[in-house]
Amino acid sequence: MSIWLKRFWRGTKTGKGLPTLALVCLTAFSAQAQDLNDAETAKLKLYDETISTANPTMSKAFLEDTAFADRLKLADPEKVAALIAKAQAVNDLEQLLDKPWRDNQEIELSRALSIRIDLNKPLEKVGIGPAPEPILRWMARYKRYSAHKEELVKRSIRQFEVVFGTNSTTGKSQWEIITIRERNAFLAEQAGKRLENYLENEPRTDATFQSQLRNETVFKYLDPADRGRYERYLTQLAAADAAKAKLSAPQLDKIKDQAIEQQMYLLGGLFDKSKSKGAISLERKVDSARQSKPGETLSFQNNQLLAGMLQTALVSEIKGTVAGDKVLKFYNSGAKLNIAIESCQGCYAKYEPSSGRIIFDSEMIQQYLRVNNLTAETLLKSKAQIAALARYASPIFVEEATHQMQHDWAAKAGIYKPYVQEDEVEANSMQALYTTEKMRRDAKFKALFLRMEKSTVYAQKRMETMDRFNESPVKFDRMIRQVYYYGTPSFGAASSQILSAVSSELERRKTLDAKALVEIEETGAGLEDAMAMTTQELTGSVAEIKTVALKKIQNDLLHKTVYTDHYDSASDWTGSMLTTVNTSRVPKPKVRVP
Amino acid sequence: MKRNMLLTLAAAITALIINTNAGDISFEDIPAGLANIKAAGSVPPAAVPVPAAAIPAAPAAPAAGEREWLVLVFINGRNNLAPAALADVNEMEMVGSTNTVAVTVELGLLSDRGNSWRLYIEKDTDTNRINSPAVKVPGSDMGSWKHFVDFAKWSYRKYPARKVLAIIWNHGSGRVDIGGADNTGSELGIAYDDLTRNFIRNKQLGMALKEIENAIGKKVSIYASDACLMQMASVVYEIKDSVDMIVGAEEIVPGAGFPYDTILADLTADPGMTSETLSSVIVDDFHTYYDATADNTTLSAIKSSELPEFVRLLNDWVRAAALPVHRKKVLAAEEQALALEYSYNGNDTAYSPRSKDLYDFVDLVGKQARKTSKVRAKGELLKDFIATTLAPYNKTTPTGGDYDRARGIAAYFPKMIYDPSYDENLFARDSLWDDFIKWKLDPSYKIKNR
Repeated sequence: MSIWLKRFWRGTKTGKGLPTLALVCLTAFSAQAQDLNDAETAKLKLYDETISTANPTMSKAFLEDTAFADRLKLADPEKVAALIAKAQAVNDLEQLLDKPWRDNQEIELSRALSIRIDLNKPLEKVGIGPAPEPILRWMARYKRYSAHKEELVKRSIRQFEVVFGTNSTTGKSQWEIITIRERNAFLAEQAGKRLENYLENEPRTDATFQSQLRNETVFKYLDPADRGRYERYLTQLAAADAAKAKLSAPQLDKIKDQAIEQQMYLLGGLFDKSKSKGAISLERKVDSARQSKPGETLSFQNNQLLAGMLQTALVSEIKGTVAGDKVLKFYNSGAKLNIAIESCQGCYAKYEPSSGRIIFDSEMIQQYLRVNNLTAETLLKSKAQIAALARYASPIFVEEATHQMQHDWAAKAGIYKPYVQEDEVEANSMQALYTTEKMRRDAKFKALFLRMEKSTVYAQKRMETMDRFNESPVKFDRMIRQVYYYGTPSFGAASSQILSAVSSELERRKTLDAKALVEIEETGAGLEDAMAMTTQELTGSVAEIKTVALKKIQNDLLHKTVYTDHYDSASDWTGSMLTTVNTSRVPKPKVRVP
Repeated sequence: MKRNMLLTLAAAITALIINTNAGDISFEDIPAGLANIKAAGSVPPAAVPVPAAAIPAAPAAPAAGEREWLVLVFINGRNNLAPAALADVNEMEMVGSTNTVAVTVELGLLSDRGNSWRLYIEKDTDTNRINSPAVKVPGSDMGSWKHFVDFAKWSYRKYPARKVLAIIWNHGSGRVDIGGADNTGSELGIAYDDLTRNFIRNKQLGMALKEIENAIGKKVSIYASDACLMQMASVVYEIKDSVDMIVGAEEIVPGAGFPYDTILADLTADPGMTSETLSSVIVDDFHTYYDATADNTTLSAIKSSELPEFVRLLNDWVRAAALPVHRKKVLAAEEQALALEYSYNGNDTAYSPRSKDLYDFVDLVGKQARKTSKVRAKGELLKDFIATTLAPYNKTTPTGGDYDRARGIAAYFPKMIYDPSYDENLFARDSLWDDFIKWKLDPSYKIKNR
């Protein structure tokens, strides 16, 4: 974006000026193409040749040479989009690998690489992919990483020798054709099958067995869903083993042949409403890790009632905090707040753009009820209990409301917004800022989370996110990108993938006859559909999207600073607010804090 | 088609590494995984080459105005069913599209490595190749409900028609998956993609059909699951408002799936047929095909407009049956009722049926009750409604076998642990079945709104 446009952008405090901005960008973009002079042509040739060999230095230089890029956009938008896509992809790869990765982060790095090095990805166009082995040659040519990191990368790409050993090379050449994603899918299927066998049939819970399970190397290949099951299994085993130590022989006899899920369920009945201190703690652990009993589930009707009551209570709960007030200002300006409770499929909560709802995971809420010896019926009859649940859910509510605000921002700006790691950095910063303030100023909130973090992973993660946020912005950013959201693309990765696919498609259309072009325009997906697509959906559907929609999205993503300015501004705000929160006076607690 | 939890990515890469001397991981189960491709007994030999080499990457044929029928088949073959997927597309090509019937397919295979193909099915006599024109869809997620919607929208934009038959072709099952943040719960699903490791949940199927209805401006005439175990009360109720007829199986469906050649031949011979007639044709042709094999099959067609009345009658029956006096009868009937697909059942006890035939269960409870009892009278009304009105088209094979007890609609029967995500079904909202199941598991459970 040109300087004056950037100033114009920064000058708008609300979303009101944003559609105008998009219009200005589009107008500039559609200006008549201008030919390059000889020096510019030579410069372009140099960039093209070096970026095409995945040269990270030249890729970075090209991305920083914004004046030249702006000039190219006028001359040949498709070509520059393709070149930017490649440069961004290389730059993003370099940034990813430059980060410090711990030795035990093989799974995270493998997943992060698999969404970048694959079929139809821009890195393939610079010689890295679809199979991942070329990354090793790229590292040798351009980077000076430690032996430790090189080894980690080999494990992460599932190099043949690492997976199968060095005794045989049978199958090696075929293995080296397939992608990281295909390798991981195959290995995950094997690992998942082994895990499933334990879950279905294994009654052992003792420490020796737990240790055996932790040391089974095959489980490093589990996919994210199965990894969650595996971690839950380990938690269940520990809780069951501790609980069994308190049981009589007849009680033990009842559960001895059961698989873990059934053992936990039966243990829940045996430890119900315990009185002694140790037993209460144990009961909470068992209740946290078991399934709900029939009387503990949220019926459809209770679910609807609770969602409504929770919505009101959440608004009250977040009021008076800097992050909470920002969220409330958003809703008070006309945005609709719509809370729902459903199975979230691997998350504690999510903002669902298609329905405009913030969905809380029903199991997270049932877990809270079990741990606190509540049922839906008792919960719904008590305003105090509803308020306590809202307290518990409020940090993630602030996070998901921030996602809603991001969508609202993009809609008002009239730009295509891919879902990227930067969204999570912003949303988690808001959550952490909120949690920090509540832990300092709200004794009830503090007491609740100090208690619940002993029983639920949800509470533990809120505390961990807050701690890291207070520790340093760099460590926080690293945690979000490398620990929690490694499977989500960075803006650079997502943008490069879309630009690459779109520019290739627009180039292809130059070769189509009039009849084929007319058919695309008559039967292709329109702008509204395209703007609602995810990165994956968009890159997969480019051949079936109308040209005007593709050009609009390409134009949006070519103006990268529109996005980066938004994320930078959000980061500046949460950073400054954290200082304010941490230096403000803390009120005296009204309740006793353990 | 049965969801097989054994190794299924194998189709694309297994052969590469069967003999590998593994380091960290053993591949000893791979041959068994491959063998399971044909475990259902009816999958024809994979005589067709992989589409990547066989499908001409040409633009789809132009639309010829509004036809009578659009048949769109979402074939997720990214698993051990790939040979059957290719065979089924070839079956469709034996008939092809006509001026009155357009047939489209989205075909995803592991061998296409994340890409899929959208085909406009044209008639040919070559059973070894797929020759229909196709467009490539890079990086597709065949386990995404939104991708299914995208395919349906694409099909309708190109080939608008008065009536639409939408089919999802894949495994279908209740299975363990991430029902919640801590990875609890099992959900009924379909369209398992072994590369993206995603699948379409029951609730998402409802969302998909609703979005398709909105996009085409009318209800989907027929939704059919060419997949196992999908004809359950909770599934059909979830999608009822967006479709007229629902075709599916209570039991597993053999790998060969629907006989597309005979179904399309019947449809193209009489393209003016109604949704109800075509549904009955699918049931009949399926029955005819599998009657000639040794396979156990069930297939029924349900009228979605009758589901509210079905729920009213079911609730009447639950009110009569969920009493302490009938508890032993209920538990005994559960033991004897026609069980469908015995296997590991999510978070419930190991090796129990995922579902049971509802008609058979109600019948068995009634048989233990007095002839003048309310539970028996309500049961008779419910049974009669299922057989004559709700699921009038229902056939099983082999004729005279145990599956004769399958009457067209199955229900959830957990053995020990109730899956809380079941509460989120629309069926749980409107029926008392969820309460009945909870009472069955825990006699102290109080059924509300009696």
